[in-house]
Amino acid sequence: MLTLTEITKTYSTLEVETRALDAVSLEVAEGEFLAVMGPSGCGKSTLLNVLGLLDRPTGGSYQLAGTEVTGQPAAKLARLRGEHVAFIFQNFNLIDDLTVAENVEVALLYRGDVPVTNNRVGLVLDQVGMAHRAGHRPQQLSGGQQQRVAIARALAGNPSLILADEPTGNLDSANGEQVMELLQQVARSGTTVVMVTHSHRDAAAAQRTVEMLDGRIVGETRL
Amino acid sequence: MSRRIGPWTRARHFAITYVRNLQANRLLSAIAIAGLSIGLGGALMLALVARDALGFNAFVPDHERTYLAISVLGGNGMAPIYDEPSNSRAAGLIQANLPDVEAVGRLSEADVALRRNGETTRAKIYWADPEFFDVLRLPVVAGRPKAALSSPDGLVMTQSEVIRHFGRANALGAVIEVAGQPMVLRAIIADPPDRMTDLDRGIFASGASAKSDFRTSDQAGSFSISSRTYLRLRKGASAPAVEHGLAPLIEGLLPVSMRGAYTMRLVSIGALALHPGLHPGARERLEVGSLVAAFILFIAVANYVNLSTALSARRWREIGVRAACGATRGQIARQFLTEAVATVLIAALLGAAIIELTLPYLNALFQTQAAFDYLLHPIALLWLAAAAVAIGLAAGAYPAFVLSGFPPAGLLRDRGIGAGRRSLVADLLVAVQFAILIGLLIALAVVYQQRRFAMTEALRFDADQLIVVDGPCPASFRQEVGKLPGVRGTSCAEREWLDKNSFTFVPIGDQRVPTDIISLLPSSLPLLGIAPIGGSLSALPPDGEQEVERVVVNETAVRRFGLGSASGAIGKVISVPRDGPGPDIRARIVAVVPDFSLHSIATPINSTIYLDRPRSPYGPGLVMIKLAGRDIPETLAAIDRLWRKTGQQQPIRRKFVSDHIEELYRNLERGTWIFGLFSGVAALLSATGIAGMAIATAERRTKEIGIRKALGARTDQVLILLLARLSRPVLWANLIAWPCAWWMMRNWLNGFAYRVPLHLWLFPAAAVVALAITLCSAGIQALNVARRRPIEALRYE
Repeated sequence: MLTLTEITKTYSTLEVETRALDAVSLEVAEGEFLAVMGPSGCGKSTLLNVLGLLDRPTGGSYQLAGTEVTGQPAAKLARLRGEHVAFIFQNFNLIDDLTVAENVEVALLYRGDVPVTNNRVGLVLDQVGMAHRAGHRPQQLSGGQQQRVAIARALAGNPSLILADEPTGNLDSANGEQVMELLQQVARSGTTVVMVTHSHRDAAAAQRTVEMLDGRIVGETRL
Repeated sequence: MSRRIGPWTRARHFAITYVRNLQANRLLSAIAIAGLSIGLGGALMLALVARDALGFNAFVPDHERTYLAISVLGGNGMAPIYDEPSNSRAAGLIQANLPDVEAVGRLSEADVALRRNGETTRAKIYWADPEFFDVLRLPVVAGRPKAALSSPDGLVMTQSEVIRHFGRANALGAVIEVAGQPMVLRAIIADPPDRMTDLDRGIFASGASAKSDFRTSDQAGSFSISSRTYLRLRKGASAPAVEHGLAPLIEGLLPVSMRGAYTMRLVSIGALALHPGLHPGARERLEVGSLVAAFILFIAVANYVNLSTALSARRWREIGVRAACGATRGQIARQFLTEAVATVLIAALLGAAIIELTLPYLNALFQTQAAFDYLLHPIALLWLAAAAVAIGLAAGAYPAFVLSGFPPAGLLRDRGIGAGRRSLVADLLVAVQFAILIGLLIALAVVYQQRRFAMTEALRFDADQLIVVDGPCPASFRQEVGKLPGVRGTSCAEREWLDKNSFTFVPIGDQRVPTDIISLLPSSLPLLGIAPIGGSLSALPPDGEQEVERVVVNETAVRRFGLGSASGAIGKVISVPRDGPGPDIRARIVAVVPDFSLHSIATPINSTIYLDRPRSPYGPGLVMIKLAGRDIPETLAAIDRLWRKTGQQQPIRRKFVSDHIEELYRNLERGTWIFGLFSGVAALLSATGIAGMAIATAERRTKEIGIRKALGARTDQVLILLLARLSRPVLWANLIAWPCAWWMMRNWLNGFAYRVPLHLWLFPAAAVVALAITLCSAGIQALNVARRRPIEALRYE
């Protein structure tokens, strides 16, 4: 699904150069559920941003679904992102002024000519058990419910890659478990999932875990 | 089943997003939209006024080569006087001698009695040459206007005049008595569009009629400036060339005293409304109005840009999510741009509604006759919509550009946007907004001071309790009025003294000095509180001289005639040109009075000779009555009664001289109102703009404030910090405003011969007002932020 070869990412200011990713090479297969672990500041989120085409690597090569994406113009990256990638965030990132259904709909708006099934929004909300709250605003929901809506939004566009950034970080354990179950289901249905987490319990739900330290991959565990 | 996300689904989604955002920020959205509505409404009002002035006479076929020959009177050292009527006898010479002129025709304004079915009304009409309708081929409803005026009893009327006088639309053949002569309605023309023409009367009576003014003005040897002479040039002919050919032609018509002082100029009929000589100040009013409307529109747009940038910055999460879902920068920018256009369209609609509702009041205030006739001219609505879209794109460009440019990765990690970012554009917009406000405040103060000056100090005479009655000063009336207990004194003078002076050239050595000649009885001067500064009025016969032998002059005349001092001038003999043919009169100066004028202080006071006679033999007169200041209504009623009792035929026409003065300075008063109103609007809009900036600054600096407070800063210290930051662009504004306002107001004051100095204290005073507005409008928001507990501020991120 995705292949990273010697990816580096450095942030430079006038006096300091910070190497957030240091020659990272990684391959993730289609339908694989991969967890990325490591201490704060090790480069996990930068890796996720690079994978999601929100940030450009400074060097190396990145192939997404067989397409080399480094060096592509911003508009092409945005189109690839819309077609292939979806995000789930620790802070849910739902738009306050839109209803649950409208939030999910956002994922369908920028997909160009890709057809979507009728009532796709209803279907994915049903899939995460939130169809009965379609007309509510995010502030009217609990954290767990908000994250389920965020997952529905991620699923709506039928992405081939879901990137989850500490999806249970703001949830209690019961809600966290529900979310992890949903992600496992998603992976089982053939969507690649890459999840950044601090939690060993969450990482245990993944098929493979890579450990990062100081911008490098320092270990790998396969379940 | 599957389908593509259609444009309607997208449109609905973005419409919902737009409306919800407006709802979420009700107050600030309302402020932004209200500001834009006022700005657009003002611009619309001005566009309507400008449309009338710029499209003047455009309905006349071939208006671009049709001209009015106007009179210009002037001489060495004297500001030229422009008048629409010109010499009556010029038309014949033009027709015979200038081949570049295709047609020429005249009108002569008259106030006559119309009599029909035993009923008499007074009406303003034109005596007209048949050729007039050759020059101005006005749309005809019935008959043939040119042929109609060829017979001495022919009459042409506009459609509305026909209905007014005959009660039906088609009255061809109907007879009405005009100035005592029966005349036949032989042609009807369409009503010219309101306010778009110099033709302000709708009755054209044949100039060949025995009653026509042309009968006297066309006589050989006479010289009168009383006809409106219209001419149409041949295609390709040049107006300056025709003007050049005209000068030697009319030279032979002029009396000796007028040679070199009278010329005729051609003014395109489209340019009449804004001609600086004929309508002084009209062009400036339009220019100042345009500038002020542009300023207000700029303030409103700048305000919108700042508020919408501040408001949109709250949408960082939305921008991040859309980017994460595949939106390109262009798509996000388009969304914000579309929202801006929608907002401006809403504001334009509200602005149009404001104009529709307030147009009668605005017209009354600004003395304009603008009409928002969008049903007649739907194209006006299209223009308004197009302008709104253009302004929306301009106003939305900056927020769209800024907001779509934030890296989504940062937005999605909850950092918000603009942390620590200083917006130079926002500062610049606020600085220009406040520069405009400061400029308007300075203009308001200067216009107000000049108006006060014009109506008090600059007046130089006592206008209090003084009334003037139009009329030839009948002795019986004057005597009876003088006996009334509420009357202190009466006198007579010529009518023109109030409106425009007749002037002549007085030969002094080999020079000819342009000099105003005013006929009045010597008792007029004490009624105005004017006492001689040299000589005495007692030597003058109180009821006027049969032959002028003794005269009074003003200080300027003493200076220009080189007579030395006021006392030295007494007894000197000067030459005064006669009204009619004949050699100059040799007259002795018996008194010198201080300079004063009943005219606007826009023009300098000329050298003036006062002749001791109740009025000029060729002009109308007036009765001056000084009231004692008690029982005024009773006295006025008694004066009206005496007017009828002493056998005057016309209804009495009287006015207070103070009203005349007010009338003179109506433009200044209007200017005070315009600047006052728009300064208020500018202040309101700028205040909301700075409030918007306060919100943006507060959000941007929340973390900094938290840290400062955690480290021990007090609320007042934080408040000062915030207000100092917000005041900075307002202080910069002075750098722009002061020199611009100084230059503009100095130029404006230079348009007055007598003026107030441009006080420098006005500049810092306006700056203080602007600063006070800033501190008041931003203070509450800044105080709210400064009072937050540090933990709240730090938790913000």
